[in-house]
Amino acid sequence: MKFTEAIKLATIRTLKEDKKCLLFGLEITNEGNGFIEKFPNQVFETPVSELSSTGLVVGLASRGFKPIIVYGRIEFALLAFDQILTQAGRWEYMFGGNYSCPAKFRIQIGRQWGNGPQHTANYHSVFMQAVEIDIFIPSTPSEAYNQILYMSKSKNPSVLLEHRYLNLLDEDFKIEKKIKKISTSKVYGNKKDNIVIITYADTLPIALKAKDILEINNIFPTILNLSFFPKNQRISNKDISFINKFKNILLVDSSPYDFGILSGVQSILSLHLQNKNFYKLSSPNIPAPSSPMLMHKYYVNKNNIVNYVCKILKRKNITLSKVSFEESILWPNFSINKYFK
Amino acid sequence: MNKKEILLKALEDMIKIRIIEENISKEFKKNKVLSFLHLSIGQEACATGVAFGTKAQDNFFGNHRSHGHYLAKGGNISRMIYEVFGDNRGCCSGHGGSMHMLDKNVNFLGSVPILGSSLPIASGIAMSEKLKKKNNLTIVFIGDGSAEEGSFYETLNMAGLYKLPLLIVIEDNKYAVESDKFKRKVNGYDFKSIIEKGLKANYNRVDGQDFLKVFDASKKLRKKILKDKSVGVLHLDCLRFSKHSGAEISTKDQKSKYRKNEYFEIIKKDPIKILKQNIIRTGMSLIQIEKIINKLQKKYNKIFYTTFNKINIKKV
Repeated sequence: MKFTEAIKLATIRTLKEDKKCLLFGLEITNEGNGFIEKFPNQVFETPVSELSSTGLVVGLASRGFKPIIVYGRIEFALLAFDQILTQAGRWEYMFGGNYSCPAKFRIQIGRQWGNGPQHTANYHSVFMQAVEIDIFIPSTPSEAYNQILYMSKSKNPSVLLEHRYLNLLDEDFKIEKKIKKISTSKVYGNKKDNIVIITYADTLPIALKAKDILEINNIFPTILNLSFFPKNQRISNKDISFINKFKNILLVDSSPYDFGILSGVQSILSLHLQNKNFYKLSSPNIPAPSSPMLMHKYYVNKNNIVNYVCKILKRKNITLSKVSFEESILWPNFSINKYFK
Repeated sequence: MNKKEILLKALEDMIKIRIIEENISKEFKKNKVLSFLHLSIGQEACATGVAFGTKAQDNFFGNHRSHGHYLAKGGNISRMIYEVFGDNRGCCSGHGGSMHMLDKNVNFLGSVPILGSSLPIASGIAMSEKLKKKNNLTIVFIGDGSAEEGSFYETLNMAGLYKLPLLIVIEDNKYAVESDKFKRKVNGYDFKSIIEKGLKANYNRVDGQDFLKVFDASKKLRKKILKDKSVGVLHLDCLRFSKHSGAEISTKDQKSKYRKNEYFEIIKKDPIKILKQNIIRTGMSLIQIEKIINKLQKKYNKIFYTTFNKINIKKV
């Protein structure tokens, strides 16, 4: 199942299982999308009024509904930040508790070839200080599916940041009848070498490809991919303990690093862990360009990770073939099943 | 209730708002409480008129200046006083303070101080009631400043599109903080045309200092909104006796340059004074009315201090 299909199926399931679940967005009622035909009383087209359609959803959530609103780009969701951060994000606390506002904000985010500085921002970390909001950033189809189901039942306001870059990623997974408690992270690798690569969102498939190359060359890094940042503790004690098993910690981010999510993770780890070596790979401190050639250089690629891991572990350099334009720029279109074995 | 009974009950509610707020003002200053405070003294007829013109099952949603809306809707007085002074027995457990009023028992569903935020939230509340097939209204109170926010126009369009039972009440006291509306609006700005012709909503503008006019207009708009399944805007011209924010009710502010010496208008158009004249027209004498007012003042002073004396400001 592709990433986009997983999101759609999970959304359909929430609408089917609970009549209090509602869906709002632009073009959401277009024929062929599969929503309005099945759920004519639960699906609503919104005007191009992000602030007010988000406020509507906040009001509905405060009265016992579980509305989901979809934004085609984070830049448009920025117009609704008053409602997401100041209203939904403070609702229960400012009204003294016992007044939940389980509004769900599904926001598409991040890189896409040619979309340029105003359609590719990676403002993940902006949400992290909205301390009443659960943040979900799925990296795989199963994570997207299960996180949507989980957040639809939660009484917390929730933000789901969907990376378009992952749209074609494929995964076979079992659809459970019961909605499980979800994990904050997933580990890929056998902990053989003393390095953990911390990723989230769209950096996972790149790190997995780098891991493949490294393993062929007898280097065995471990990847810890973060995907759920709960409201009360953004990084779990379990994840901190896991990271503590490694001396070398490489943080790989497709956002500019400074004060981003992984910069925050590093600062928390520094408070808890002693004698660690931190390294980072990230996009530079400029907006993402439109030009494909500039974009090719802008994002971290698998070769960057391979080279850096060899350097950190003081291993011989590996001869690498160039990362093709297609691989660097276009959506990764492969199955990640083998990584779950 | 006959007209006289309605007017006397409205008098009680307006005195209640004024006495409670005057005491809050006094104790804020005395105890050096530095929290935000936006008093609605002078605008009591707006809150009371809308509360009387609508029904108990209708919802209120407020803004930064909502003590009056809360009290007019019948919100718990003690819990409001506790909240305003930061006591955890308050209606928002002391987390919110003066700008966050809440009493779900009387359908006062909250107030938020970010201009324009309350409008779409209230439309969501109205939509929830519609989806639950309730035959009621949601009323949101905003100021003339909030009516300059994009969300005002967005909400009118969106609520109209979804046919939501929403009544937007604009309390137009002429000032956004201390900025005169004529400095903020294009010459010839026309609410009526925009709202009625452009956005196809119902619109009525009346004197917000006169309880009877507000009451009648609210009642008619309520009927129309529910019948036509269309949004309504009630525009009330009113007078803010207090400063924008703070405990002080100052004649210095009323006489200030930015208000173009509004003091004399305020003296003339006190909503309680106008209500007294309306009551006299029902056959009561001024002496009888003053006696009632005196009793009410004592009653609400006692209610205020019974709660206030249980608060240890320094401790909380």
